[in-house]
Amino acid sequence: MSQPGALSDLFLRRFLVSYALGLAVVAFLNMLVDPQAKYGTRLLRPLVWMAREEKTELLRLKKEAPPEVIVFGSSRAMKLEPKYISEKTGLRAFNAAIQSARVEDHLEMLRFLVADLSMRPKAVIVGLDIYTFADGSGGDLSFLKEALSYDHVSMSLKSIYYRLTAYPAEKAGFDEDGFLTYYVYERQIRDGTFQLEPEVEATVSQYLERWLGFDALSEKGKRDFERLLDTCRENGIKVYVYIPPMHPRMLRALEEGTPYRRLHQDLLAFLESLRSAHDFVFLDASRAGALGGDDSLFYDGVHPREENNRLILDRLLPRGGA
Amino acid sequence: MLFNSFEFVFLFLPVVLVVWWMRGVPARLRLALLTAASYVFYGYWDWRFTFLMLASTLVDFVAGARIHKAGSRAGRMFWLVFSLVSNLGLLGFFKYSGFLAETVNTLAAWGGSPARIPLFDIVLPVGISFYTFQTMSYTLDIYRGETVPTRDFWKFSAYVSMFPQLVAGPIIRYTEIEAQLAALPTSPSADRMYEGVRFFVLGLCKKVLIADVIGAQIDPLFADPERLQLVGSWMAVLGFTLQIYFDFSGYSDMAVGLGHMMGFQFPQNFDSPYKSANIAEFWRRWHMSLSFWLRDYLYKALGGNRRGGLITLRNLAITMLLGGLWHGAAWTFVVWGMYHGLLLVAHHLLRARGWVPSSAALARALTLFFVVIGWVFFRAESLPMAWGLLGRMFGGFGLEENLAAVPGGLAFMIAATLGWCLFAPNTWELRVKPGGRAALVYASLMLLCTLRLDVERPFVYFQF
Repeated sequence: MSQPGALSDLFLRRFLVSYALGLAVVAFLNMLVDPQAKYGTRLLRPLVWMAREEKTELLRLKKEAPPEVIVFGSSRAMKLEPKYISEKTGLRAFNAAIQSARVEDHLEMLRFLVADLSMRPKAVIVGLDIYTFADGSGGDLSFLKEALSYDHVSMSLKSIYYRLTAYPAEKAGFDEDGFLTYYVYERQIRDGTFQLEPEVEATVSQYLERWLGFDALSEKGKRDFERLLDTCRENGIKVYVYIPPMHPRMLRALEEGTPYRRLHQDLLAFLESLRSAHDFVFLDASRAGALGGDDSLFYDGVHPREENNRLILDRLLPRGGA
Repeated sequence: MLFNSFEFVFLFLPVVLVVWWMRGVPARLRLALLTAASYVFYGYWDWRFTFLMLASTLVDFVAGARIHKAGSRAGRMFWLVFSLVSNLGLLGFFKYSGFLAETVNTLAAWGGSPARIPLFDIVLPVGISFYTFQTMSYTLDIYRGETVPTRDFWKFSAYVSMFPQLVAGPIIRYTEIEAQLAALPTSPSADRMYEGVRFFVLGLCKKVLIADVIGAQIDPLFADPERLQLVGSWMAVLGFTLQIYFDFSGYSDMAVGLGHMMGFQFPQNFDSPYKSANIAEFWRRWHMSLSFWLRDYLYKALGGNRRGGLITLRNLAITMLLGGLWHGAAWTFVVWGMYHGLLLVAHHLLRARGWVPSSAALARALTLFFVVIGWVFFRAESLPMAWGLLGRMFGGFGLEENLAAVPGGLAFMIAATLGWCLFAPNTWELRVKPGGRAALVYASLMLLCTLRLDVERPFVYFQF
């Protein structure tokens, strides 16, 4: 018979070793496969949009005829049409929105344009998502959180599976003016087979989870936004700011399930406080219906279709020049 | 800091355990270190509230000593009232002042008065309801002569702030832990550590792999309840019934596990409540440390069942009403408390007449049904939302035309976890022989939980 505590002792030793080994294997797998293109191993094709890389490359190619109006924002601003902006303003436009962008990403992109590419756009349009102001630092152990997340593991396994079988067709891609085309959704819309409701429901769940713990606009985000405005002023760039619309179901869910209402008010108050020192045009387009838009014209709960975005541009931009 | 966070699992807990079990450190220093660690843990949310906890600790440490020393009944009463007013004052200001002001303003508006009490945006300090109840039990027990005050401030401050159970219980009485604090073990025992890991991992699984997964599926339903019909509303409410059980009992298991790791034995807080055959039994199995606190310090203080039938029923109703209010400053919690008070009164009356179901299965099903109905008030953001949900649950808004649209994953989760609650042993009853194979199972579960720590969903009971 074993001594008292001997089995517990064995349990503890095996538990710690197995757990540590499990963590190491998961972290190693994620770093090696690198499905989110975070570690640069690139042994397998990343499974995320490489919007930042693609768009900076596209911008580099435009040195001869640099864009005069630049769109910043998250994926929610990717369907703002540069062609329509050009039609309205007579200026060359480029959509530089990147997915999951925060204010610091807009600022970085602007600095890249001005400092690295020596471009001086006449105007920038900023799609200012409230979530842009979430604190994205992830805390002190963000590297661990990234390396050991469930999403990361599932993407790694998916990546390996695709490598062994076949990669699925691209769902979306960028035109040379940075405009996004959803290959699948847009085909379904043309065919009349697109179903909005399941897409909205999926984003409702995703956003309610994403908004967990987001209860104040990040101070860093606010400072970065002020810096963005400063940089624009120093370079004579006119600024247009709008809050992108959401599907009414999505908006209701956020209003009921998160501090959305308060944060929306905080953002409006913050922008108002900047008015004395900065000159910018602002439009709160968070409700498409309020602008005369169509609540059914969305790709999901948060991504408006071109028709709604055109209404925003109509309200935001003066005809004949930015 | 949350138990279900990388900071806690990979940084805070290992450091605390290493320091706690360092050899040769005097007991008082260990208690001071435990207090310091607990303040770091608590201050991680908002460091300003650590002063509040310190104030509460100082008040009751002094009041406890004075009650014991006071030569007269009036003197003892004075210091007891001082302690109760301080604690309830803190709770009242931070938790109930906004609710009270809103209620007065609403009544004034109904009466046509333009006067308004200004509303301030007061942030509720996490866990304030829990630690004020702990400190109050200390002075109340001294007043009743059930214990004597400690002269060791660090012992008392460690008791009040002890991080494993600080923010969501179990509510521990000083009498339950006094002897443990007086004789701290000097080296960890493998058996206690095993129990600690077992409780902690199972609690974390309940929280991260069950409660959070259900929560993510029902939050969109509650965020837009007007879309719900009969099946959807039942799924939402049943989902919440299970989410809150796995969330809160998961927290309690983790607290008990952390206690074991540090050599402490905390009381059981959940005993398979959904297996209860009547509502009184439910309250003996659900959030047991609060139920027993309310029984001993409120119900009995009101007279308990010593003064005849009607008074007993009144005492039950008052206790449950205040218990409801303890959970939150909103009319939904008042109604939830009153509802449970009425259920207890009804149970009392029916049992006295022998009108109880003869079938145990039927008794359990009925009890669960009434508890589920109660959760509607607990989860709803407002009373109109609660009434609306109840209307939907009882067919007032029709049956879904397309039942295929009802989330199948949620239905499966509800069926599986409800089966677990009704038929499986709970963490305290589960007997697993320690050893190599068990270690692999627990390590795998811990690994799975770790992968879900990137979404830090707070515990439901943190808001109280």
